[in-house]
Amino acid sequence: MADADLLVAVVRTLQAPADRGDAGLHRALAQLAREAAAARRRRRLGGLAAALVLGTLGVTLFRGGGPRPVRFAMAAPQAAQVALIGDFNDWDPRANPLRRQAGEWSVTLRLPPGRYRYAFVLDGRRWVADPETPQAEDEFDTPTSAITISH
Amino acid sequence: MRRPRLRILLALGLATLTTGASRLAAQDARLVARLRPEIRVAVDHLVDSARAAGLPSEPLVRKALEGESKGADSGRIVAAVRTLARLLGDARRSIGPGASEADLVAGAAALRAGATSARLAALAALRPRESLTVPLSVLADLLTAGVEPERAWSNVRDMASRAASDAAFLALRERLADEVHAPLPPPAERPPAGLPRPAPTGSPR
Repeated sequence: MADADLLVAVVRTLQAPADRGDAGLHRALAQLAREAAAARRRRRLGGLAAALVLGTLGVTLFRGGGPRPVRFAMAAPQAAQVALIGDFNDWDPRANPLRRQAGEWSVTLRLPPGRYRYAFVLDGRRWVADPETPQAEDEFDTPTSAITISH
Repeated sequence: MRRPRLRILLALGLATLTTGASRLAAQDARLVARLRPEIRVAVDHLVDSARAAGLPSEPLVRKALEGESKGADSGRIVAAVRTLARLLGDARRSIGPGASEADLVAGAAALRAGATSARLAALAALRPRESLTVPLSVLADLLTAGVEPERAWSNVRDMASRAASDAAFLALRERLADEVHAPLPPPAERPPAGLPRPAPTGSPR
């Protein structure tokens, strides 16, 4: 019961003819205490239920595996430009160019759980597999790596 | 008499337009933009067949785009898409109809790397309520890296039967793949020829 409803219930109790006088006031206060206790119990149960629902939802979302940040990096000091291409960007060399920082090229993508095949393209023409991740099977005889994003 | 005939003609025309519109909508804009028409027709056909069979079409589209990006000829692209469609179907039959797209992609990779359908089914039976993406992907990586198939499978199976975490599977991959690529020890430290290799422990480092 909301606080406003509780107040109305108390006022009605106090206004009842049989409850006028000190005895009536005591009964009304006792009633008020009982109602307040019941309301607290209901709120506590409601909070517990909400926590359970939110907790379950949180676990579900976590287990369902939202996208995770994944950093792809490549040491290619001689390259003028490096692009990341793979299953996550339709193998489009324009989609995710790497940025050079402190002698290393890198880019960070957010990827959902799964297995992805990818490669780096140096200066628009040289395909290079990632030396830090497993080599992948490839039908087109091109260096290709595989990365697995866990749940 | 003329009105019913007119209604029928209108209905037929509308149906034709609707079918054509949905057919156009079914064609992937990426394929239209990047594949030559003769390749696109063949790939569209494979993608449509996969959809009709309830298989995910996105991995097939990606495979075609990968082939285009790598400059493969039309025959090779279509063959790669066809092979992937078959492997996705095999993976679903092995894992079960409830398999996620990620599970099927990893399963197809494992099959392509040399795993058998029976082993995929066994793995699915060991982890009926959990994702198979990481175990299957690790199995594919191990086989691709050259780990002996029985050894790769026994390690993955043992970990799955112990309800190992995804992180433990990934650690297993690092350990076994490192062993395969590790340089041979000096002759004095090499075990005599003919001795069996140490038994795999199946546990991460």
